[in-house]
Amino acid sequence: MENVRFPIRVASLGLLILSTLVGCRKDVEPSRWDIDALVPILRTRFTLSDILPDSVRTTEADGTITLVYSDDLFALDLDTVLAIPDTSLVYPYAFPLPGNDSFDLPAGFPVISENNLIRFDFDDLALRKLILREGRLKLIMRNKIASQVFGTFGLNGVTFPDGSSALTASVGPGTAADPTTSEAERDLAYSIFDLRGPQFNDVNTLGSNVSAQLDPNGSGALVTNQDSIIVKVAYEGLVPQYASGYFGNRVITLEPESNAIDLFANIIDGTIDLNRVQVRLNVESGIGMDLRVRLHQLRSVNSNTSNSVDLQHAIMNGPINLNRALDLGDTFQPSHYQTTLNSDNSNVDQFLEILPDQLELALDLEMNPLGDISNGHDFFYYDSKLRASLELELPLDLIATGLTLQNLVKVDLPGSAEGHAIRNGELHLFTTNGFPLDAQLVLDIVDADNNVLSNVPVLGSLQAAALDADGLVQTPVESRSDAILSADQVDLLYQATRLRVRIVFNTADQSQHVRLLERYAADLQITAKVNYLLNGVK
Amino acid sequence: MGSSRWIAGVVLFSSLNGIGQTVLLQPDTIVDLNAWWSNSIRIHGSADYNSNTVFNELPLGIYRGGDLSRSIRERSLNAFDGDQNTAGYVAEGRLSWAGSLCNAERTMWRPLISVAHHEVGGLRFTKDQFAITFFGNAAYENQTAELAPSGFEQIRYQTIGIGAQHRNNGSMVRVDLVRGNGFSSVDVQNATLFTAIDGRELRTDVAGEYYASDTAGGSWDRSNGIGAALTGQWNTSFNLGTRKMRFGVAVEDLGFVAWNERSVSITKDTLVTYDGWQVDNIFALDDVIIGKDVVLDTLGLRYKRGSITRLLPFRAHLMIGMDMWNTGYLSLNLDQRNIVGYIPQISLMASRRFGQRTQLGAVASYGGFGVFRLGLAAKHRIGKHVLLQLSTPHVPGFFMGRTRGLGLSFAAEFAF
Repeated sequence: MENVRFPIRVASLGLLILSTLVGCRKDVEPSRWDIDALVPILRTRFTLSDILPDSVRTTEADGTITLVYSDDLFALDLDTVLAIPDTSLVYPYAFPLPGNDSFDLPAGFPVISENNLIRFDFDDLALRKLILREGRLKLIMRNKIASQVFGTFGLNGVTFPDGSSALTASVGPGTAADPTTSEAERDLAYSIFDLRGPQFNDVNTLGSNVSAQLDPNGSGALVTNQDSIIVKVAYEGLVPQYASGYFGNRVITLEPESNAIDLFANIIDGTIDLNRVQVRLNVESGIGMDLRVRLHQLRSVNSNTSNSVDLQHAIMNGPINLNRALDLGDTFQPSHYQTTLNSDNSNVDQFLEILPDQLELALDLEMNPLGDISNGHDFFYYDSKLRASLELELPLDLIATGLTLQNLVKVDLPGSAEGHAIRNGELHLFTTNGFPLDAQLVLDIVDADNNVLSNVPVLGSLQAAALDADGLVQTPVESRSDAILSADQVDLLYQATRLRVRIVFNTADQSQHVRLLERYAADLQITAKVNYLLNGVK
Repeated sequence: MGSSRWIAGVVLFSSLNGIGQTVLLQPDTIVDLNAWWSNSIRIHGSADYNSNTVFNELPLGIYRGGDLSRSIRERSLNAFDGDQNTAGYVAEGRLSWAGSLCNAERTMWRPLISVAHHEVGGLRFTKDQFAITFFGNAAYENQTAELAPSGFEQIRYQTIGIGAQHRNNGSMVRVDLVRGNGFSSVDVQNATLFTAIDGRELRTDVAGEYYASDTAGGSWDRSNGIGAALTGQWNTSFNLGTRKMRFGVAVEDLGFVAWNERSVSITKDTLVTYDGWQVDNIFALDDVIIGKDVVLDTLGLRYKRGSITRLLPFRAHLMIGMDMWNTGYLSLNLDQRNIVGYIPQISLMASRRFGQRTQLGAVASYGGFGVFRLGLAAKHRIGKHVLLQLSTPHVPGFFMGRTRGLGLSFAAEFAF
């Protein structure tokens, strides 16, 4: 027995020691060691299409590129010319009986029968015809008479899409203390309004008839001076599809407003000297009235550099007269105006060389400057608009000075700020440059507000390819740049920061315009030599 | 992770086997328990790591976790000699019972039931592989790193078996049912990695195969394959002149596992040149998403799934020995294991009995996963019922970081 007990003690002691050894290993973090990795990261071919989409770029037969860019300067639509307010009309009827007198009305008694003229308030517009695209007509009846009442609202001169011109409704019997209400509604879409009134010699006017009678099949009603019937008619949400008439002689002022222009959005600094710039100003009017436009200001603004240039051209001095559009019955043919601006008749090259990101415009628009010469036949359709646009044609034949492209990159590195594998390193940029532009890479680590936290030094630059006698590149040039990322900078990249990549371009010869061809390209390859901590990612 | 380490720890320290990997003293009829007890329960285990190049301080540093200093890595790298570099480990645990047949207590053969857990891993690698793994490829700028011949194999499995054991000479035979937990295997016949100047290109030429069980996991509690194995040992003795000679031959876990249809394999014989991810627009880097699928497609590393049958890492063992005087024993052992990185291991063991209960021995060995090792073994009987054994194949491993190999085996047997 003694012999058995002893080995059990030994075994128990052994297991205790062993379980302790196992427990020591339990929560140990993985082993880490650093390696120096030398690896290619990415390669790409840079062409002008990377910064100039196909939609703004045309290529000539000789390979030269022209930027074609169109931007709306302003557009006026129907709301500017006519807005129809909601309109309500109320037709009340009470019984003029003295004191506590009462009167017994027979079945079918006509309690209301009125003919009225409705005048719409269209400001200076004198409309003769209106076709609605949207709208509702509501008939609301409130009855204190002890009989069902039938009401009818007739609109003379209005044709609903089903050919009718009246809206009917009924309301149940009510009392003075507890009136009864009913509501009927009609969709007015594509209803035609003849607004010349009953005699066809007026404007903005409709003839109407409101009637109400007791139920002809009822038993009549005993009424007092407390009893009444109220009919309310409401026009709501009226949107014209077509209107004709005289739209008045008004001046609409377009206060200076700024329009963004994204043609140079990728360029954040520098200047270019352009050659053979051409800009076309197009104005199109789909409104059936004469218009006169006076341009007070057309200014290009570069908000990054605070530079601005006012356009100087004959159109800034005199009005632009626009002919009326043509009414084709169920649609229209717009009128057009176009003028071309170039460096001979304007300062349009300077206007664009500041690389604007905004255009500021101020103008007056005068309607019917010559009065009612159409004899009340001005018109517009729902789709009628007055719009002006600029079309730019910029042959890429330029001198670039400090032309700076910028990209903000959220660097997605493995790991976190608490534990990351990449500790420091070098980035190598190898370029085979086919552009006649040299470039300097600028790398900065910036915070969420684009404040520079650290500059990553870059050694070397991208050399410009040489031009031949025709001013064209035949052979690309190879060059190399190196960026050195310290451990502190790597730590920064793991925080809420971004890497700001700027490339500053300069044409090699600052006195000679160089043409950029479609075939020009730069092959880029980025490699890295990094000190990487295996198992360093948390 | 925690539970697997616990299991590994138990395997490492709490159980060992009779014909297992590590040093075991030869049978001694005076020290050993009486073979005629009706029942014998034995728990034994071993863990043995070895390498012919890497100093212990490196795997120990990896095991301990945390920062692995450059000096530790450099010492192992500087000790490399040639490209036949190997490392490996064997961790096994076994619980067995040997009894008596009913009404046949006096027969020489007794029944045997045994359950065991095995983890075996082997690695063959080049100096360049080691250097790139622990220092990166930057030092190989404009050079070609030789990454082959190399290979790796790791397997985890459990067995349960029945058999019979001879009472006197220890001969035995056992048939096991095998439960495969997981395995992975890489065999690279040819591989190079060229790093161009400034890292502008990586070019690798690879010919090799990769096999693995279900990638969902291969821990001890998963069953990803099933198989069978045979273990046998035949011992005999004869007289040579005045000396008593002993001869033994054994094979352990000679069998297979049929891994299920979720196993994966890749066979590659290809040249891959990588010079960076192709980006369409340098100004739209935020849109570049390099997902796992892109990488796998780019490198052609899509698995092929299907059932795989693989041999177990069986071990063959040959022994010849002789009695020395009345209390001593000398034996020469040769063994080989079916695992990557293992070369035939030869070992010479000398042992001596001290008193009636204790036997001590020393062993010098060469081969296996490593080179020369010097070990010690001890056996002590407590009373008539309990026998304890403790051994290590390499004593310096416990005291010196700059040596190679470390192992320990422990066994406890209770007979009644």
